[in-house]
Amino acid sequence: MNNVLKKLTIGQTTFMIIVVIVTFTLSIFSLFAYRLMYSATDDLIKTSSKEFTSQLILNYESYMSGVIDISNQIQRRLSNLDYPLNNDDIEVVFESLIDVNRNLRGVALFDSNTLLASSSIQLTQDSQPWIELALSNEEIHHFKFVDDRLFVLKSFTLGPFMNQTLTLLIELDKSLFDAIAFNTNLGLHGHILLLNESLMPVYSVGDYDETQSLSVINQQLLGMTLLEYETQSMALNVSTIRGTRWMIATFVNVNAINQTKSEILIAMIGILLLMMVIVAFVSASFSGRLNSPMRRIQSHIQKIQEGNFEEQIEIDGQIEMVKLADTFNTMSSQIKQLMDNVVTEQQEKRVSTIKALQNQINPHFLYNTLDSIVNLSENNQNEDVVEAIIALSKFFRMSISNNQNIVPLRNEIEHVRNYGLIQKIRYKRSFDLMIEVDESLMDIPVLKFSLQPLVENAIMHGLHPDMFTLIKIRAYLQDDAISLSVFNQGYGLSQSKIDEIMTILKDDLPTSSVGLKNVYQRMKLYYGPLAHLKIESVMDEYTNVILTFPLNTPLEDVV
Amino acid sequence: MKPLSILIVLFLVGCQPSVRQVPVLYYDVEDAYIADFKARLSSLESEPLIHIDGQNRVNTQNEQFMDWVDHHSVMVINPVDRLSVLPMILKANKEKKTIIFFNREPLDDDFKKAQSAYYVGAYPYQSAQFQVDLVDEMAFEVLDNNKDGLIQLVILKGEQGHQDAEIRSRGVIETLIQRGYQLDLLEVRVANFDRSLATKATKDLIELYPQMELIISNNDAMALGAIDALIEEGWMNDSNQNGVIDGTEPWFPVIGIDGLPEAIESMEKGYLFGTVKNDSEAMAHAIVQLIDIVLNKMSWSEFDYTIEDRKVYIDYILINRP
Repeated sequence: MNNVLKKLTIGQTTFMIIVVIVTFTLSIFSLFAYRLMYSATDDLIKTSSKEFTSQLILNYESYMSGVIDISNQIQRRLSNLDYPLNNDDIEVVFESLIDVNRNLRGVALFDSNTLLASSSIQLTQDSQPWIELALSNEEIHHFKFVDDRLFVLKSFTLGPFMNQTLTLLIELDKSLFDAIAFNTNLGLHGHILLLNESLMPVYSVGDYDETQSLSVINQQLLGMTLLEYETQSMALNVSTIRGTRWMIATFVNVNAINQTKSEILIAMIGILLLMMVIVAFVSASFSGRLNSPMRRIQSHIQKIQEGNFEEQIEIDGQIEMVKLADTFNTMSSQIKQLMDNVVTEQQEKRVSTIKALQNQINPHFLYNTLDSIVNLSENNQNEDVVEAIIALSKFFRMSISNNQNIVPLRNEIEHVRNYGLIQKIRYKRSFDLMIEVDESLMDIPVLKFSLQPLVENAIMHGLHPDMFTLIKIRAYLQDDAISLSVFNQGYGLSQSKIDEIMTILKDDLPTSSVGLKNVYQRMKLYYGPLAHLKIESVMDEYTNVILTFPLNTPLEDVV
Repeated sequence: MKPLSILIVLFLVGCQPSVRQVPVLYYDVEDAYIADFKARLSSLESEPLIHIDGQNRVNTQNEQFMDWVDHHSVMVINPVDRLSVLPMILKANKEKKTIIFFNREPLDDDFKKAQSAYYVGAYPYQSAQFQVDLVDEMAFEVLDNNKDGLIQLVILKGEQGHQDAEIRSRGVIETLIQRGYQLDLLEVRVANFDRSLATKATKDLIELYPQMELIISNNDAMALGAIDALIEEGWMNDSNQNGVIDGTEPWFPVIGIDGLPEAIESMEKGYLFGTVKNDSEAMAHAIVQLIDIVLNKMSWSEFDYTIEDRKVYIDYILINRP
């Protein structure tokens, strides 16, 4: 996982994290919301179905209690009649009741199996089994549906000693009973069943499949459940009706409510997906905002790697990115500057070194020296010739051999000594070169070809034709620097002349004194501001040129 | 993930009742008798019980039955309608539960279908027999006021068609005849178990039957109503204003059933002759013992009552004047 994450860009990671978090949060939220709505819908179905059934039962019960009341009323009226009963009296009771009860279609009274009296009764079948049914349990009312009529049977005792058992048969119009459920909206396949004690239907409202309905009722027996019936969602509620042995089962189609449930689910999934798409877009654009400047900076770095410092990167977007780009631009232009500096410096170094070399191998110098040697040999000064040639050879060897620009002081002193020897021969020993350098300083690295031009200058410009001139070379430590001084007696220089020389050295002005300028330039190139060149002079007395180099030599670079 | 699932489990567990109480379903705790019975039942040391009021509605009780049927292996039910218990019995059979019915006896047809059910109650016919026991205690000479050898009897009947009313009324007549009384049954008057209705009816009866010698009522309320009428008509009169009927003061025999506190007070003051009372205490005790037996906490040998065909009939208690 970590490895996979590491391979992703910041933008991708941000995108992934945002999408994962939002998806997770939304999913959890949706799940809970749906769960709540789901159970709320279920509760709603159950509550409404229960309320519906409860109201329906109340209506049936009130109807049935009305029927039982009629029966009790008849029994009471009959028990108030003179005993033994007179058929005419009975019929009067019946008629009076039928008159006030529109619901009542007829009444009959049986003594065991014989009809005692009746009024308006429309009995189409044998009454015997019914009477037996009533007698089987005298305590309760028995009910029978026949066509559009409801028959009520009740056995009771009568007579002064309550010892005569009679059976009352009441015939009722079923229309009022039917009216109870007439206006109820049970929905497609919704129905109501009344079942007897054997759980067989005795009355029904609505179309139904008997096998299926009875099977689920037998399963449920009592209470409320949600089930699938003929591909419809149904709320089944089973209860009982007071005063009867009937069970009542209501099947209410709740498909519509259930559909709402799936509609809610679809809507929630839709919203969830939409939200996720939006989040994906937003986070993709955000991570793009993060990613695209990064990618541009990256390709910019690529260009820099390839050496292209010219291009500047322009970014607008997140403030951090803009700052980063600005910093990057500054950095790349600085690098460019630095690189340019380095190139210039290297070129300068190369040019100045070549110039220094050229100075050393000056053809005039060579010619003059050789001419002097010729003079010496003509004068048979053989020893001097040998000495001069050796010095010359050493001088040139040192000039051309070593590639290094920084050499031990010892080498420079040796070089200057050889040079002095050669010049001494040439100038007929009109000067003396005195070297006062402590042996302990001899190994200190200094700039190559730094002393010779100064000595050359001293000889060329310092020598007094009428005087023997002393040229003194000294070296001494001062703080963290070594100073080399070339002192010569002679004409000296005015302060204005010194200032002029210094100006010529510092500025890039053409000069005849190629040697000194070259030393100065190289000194600055190799040591920077830590190196100094100083000219001290007293007119007609002396000139002293002092070079100061820092002790910690910069890295030697090969030219 | 773990703490979340624990939370969910805790939540689900929290929805279940923590104590497994035995549900007791009453037909209506507003009924004074049921309220008294409930108090007796809760005063007994027993399994924890939870009392549920059916509010005298069959459908409500059916719903309550379904709410509680899963919670305990035994349920105690006082049915709202004795005719409506069949689905409960069938459901209990399916769920392997035991039902202890009380106070209202299911039909035999239904009760026989139960795999595990009991009934605790009184035998209504016995209340009639006990009322006749009270008649027996009265000297016949006192009773037979007109000395014709017959008892001019009026029965105050509860609701027409009401099981108790029918059985008690018929039981009184049959038992009186059985014990050799010569009856002149003036009227069986329906007064719906109601005191004020009984007062009205009795005034009417006094006018109709001045020869009336005895009133037997299906309950105490109607008996008290009858006494109200008898006092008003002067058939009972505390002429010396000492608060009780005694000596030769006018008096008329009235017998009730139920043992209401007011009836007992009336009896102590010499008005009501006597009453017959349900032994609620014994019934409650029998129910508690049956619960223990069903839950295997007690053996049948320790059962204090007679049980036959899974039915326990508790004898009535006779209450008469000291």
